[in-house]
Amino acid sequence: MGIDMNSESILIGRRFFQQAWLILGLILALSPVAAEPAIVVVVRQDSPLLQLSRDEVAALFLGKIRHSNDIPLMPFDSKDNDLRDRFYQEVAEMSGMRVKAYWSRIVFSGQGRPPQEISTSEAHAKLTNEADALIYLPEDQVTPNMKIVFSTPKGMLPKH
Amino acid sequence: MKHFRRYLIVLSALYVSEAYALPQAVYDSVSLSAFGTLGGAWFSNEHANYQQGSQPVGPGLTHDIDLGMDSRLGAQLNVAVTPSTLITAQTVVERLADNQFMPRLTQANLRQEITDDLAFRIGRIQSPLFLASDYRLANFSNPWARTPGVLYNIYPITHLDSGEFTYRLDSDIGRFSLNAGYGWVSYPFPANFGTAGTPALELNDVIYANLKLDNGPWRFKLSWLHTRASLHFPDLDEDLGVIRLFDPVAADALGLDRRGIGLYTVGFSYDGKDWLVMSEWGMARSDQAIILNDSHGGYLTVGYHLDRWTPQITVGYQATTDRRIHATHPLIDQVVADTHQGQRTDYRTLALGLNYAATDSVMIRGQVDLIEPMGNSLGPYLKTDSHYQFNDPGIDTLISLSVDFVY
Repeated sequence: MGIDMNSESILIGRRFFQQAWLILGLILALSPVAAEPAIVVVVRQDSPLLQLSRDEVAALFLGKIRHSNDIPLMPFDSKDNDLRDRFYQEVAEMSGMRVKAYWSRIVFSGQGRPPQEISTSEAHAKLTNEADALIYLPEDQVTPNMKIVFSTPKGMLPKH
Repeated sequence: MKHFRRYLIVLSALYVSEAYALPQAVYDSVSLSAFGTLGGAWFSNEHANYQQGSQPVGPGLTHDIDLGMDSRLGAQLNVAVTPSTLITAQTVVERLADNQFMPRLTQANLRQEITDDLAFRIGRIQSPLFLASDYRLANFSNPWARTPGVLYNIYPITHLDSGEFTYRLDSDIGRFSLNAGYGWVSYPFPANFGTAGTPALELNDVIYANLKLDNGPWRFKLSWLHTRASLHFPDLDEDLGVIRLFDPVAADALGLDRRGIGLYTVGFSYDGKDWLVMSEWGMARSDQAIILNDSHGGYLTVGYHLDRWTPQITVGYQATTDRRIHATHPLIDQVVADTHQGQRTDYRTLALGLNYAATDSVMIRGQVDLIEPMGNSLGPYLKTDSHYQFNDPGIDTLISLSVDFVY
């Protein structure tokens, strides 16, 4: 009638793992979500532009307008595919494929060109050299010579 | 072959110059884009050809599987002379009316934005009549394996030598764009159109206007085009000569020299996060309603985006209007009636398609079209053999597989 030591060991082991999973689940549930940094749209610090709406940002980067409050703006796209996809998903609810199809219609009907693609390091140079440059980049890469005119909600960015 | 090599050399030179030779400022203003389709199609009817545009062959009667009907390669050079001045040159290699794959110039124009709202363009442009007609050659942008022939074949001409302006106006209900212009074009007819060689349909005094309204994923478009069409080839001129002996008035009415053609279209598209809906309807009316028969057609496409997959369905129809001249001489009137009957293009279609975005620049498509020509009509077929059931054509199946890409 004695307890089988082997069965008891298995039982204790199971309880340990159940409790461990429970504790791990609680830690994950209560800890803050590792949020992606927000994407911000910036101009030069000395630009008269103060703010852009989400619709204006989408219209500027999709080539539908070239000014905001009579201030000329020249948007530049990011060469970072992941950043670019997240940006268009957030401001225009368009996937990378749909953005490509959108610009294909405009380019191949001879009506325009998409914004030039630049790297993050080139973005800094563009802002220095071109007064009307409009770029987007992760919030944690903003430098003092940039002015934020639009920001996506932090931690709300869709992941791919 | 000689032309193809020349084309490759030009493409290579453009690529090399863009990648290695140009200074940064020029590099920023010059871009090379490309698009293409590799497609294969099989058609169930062995007594009729399914043909596209001005191509003289297609799957069915002349081929089991046709790899040439939808396949094409295009290259485009864009030069932004200034931020508001854009020069575009586009060339496309595809099967032409003489059954050769040859490059042709599909765009060569200068676009100048005078203000944010007003632009003009001069040169060779893509015809802007339909919702998708000015980029229809870059099929990656379209939801179908090819543009719906029920409507687009009413006016299959893809380019125009033109001068035009576009005016945009923002309003509470969206952005209006008014585009209007004047131009001309020569369009080759396929070799099997009752004559040897490739006679050209000359369209002169092409006047067009279209009004678009864009609001988010919605687009509405209203278009109008009027032109004077001329077509001359030996068979027709010879027939008209005989008719003229009996009925000069009928011969003049049947002649194809600067005959007026009017086209009217209306359509909308919705390309939202989940749903894709496109619909267009159009009609053509001609002064010479026998060979240039009056017709109307339309389609409705409904698709649903499931991540990278988009299943869709398209229904469409094309019909010929019963409007023709009546000759005074009974024999000539019978010839006119027979000719009119032979030119009828009444049919309806049901297409089931599935698109898969393999990457952001590559689309793989499969499409099954069920095509039902109406009784006593050739439907969409230009070439048939003596076994074709003209009175009771039945339902034919066209199966298409293609890969579209843009670069």
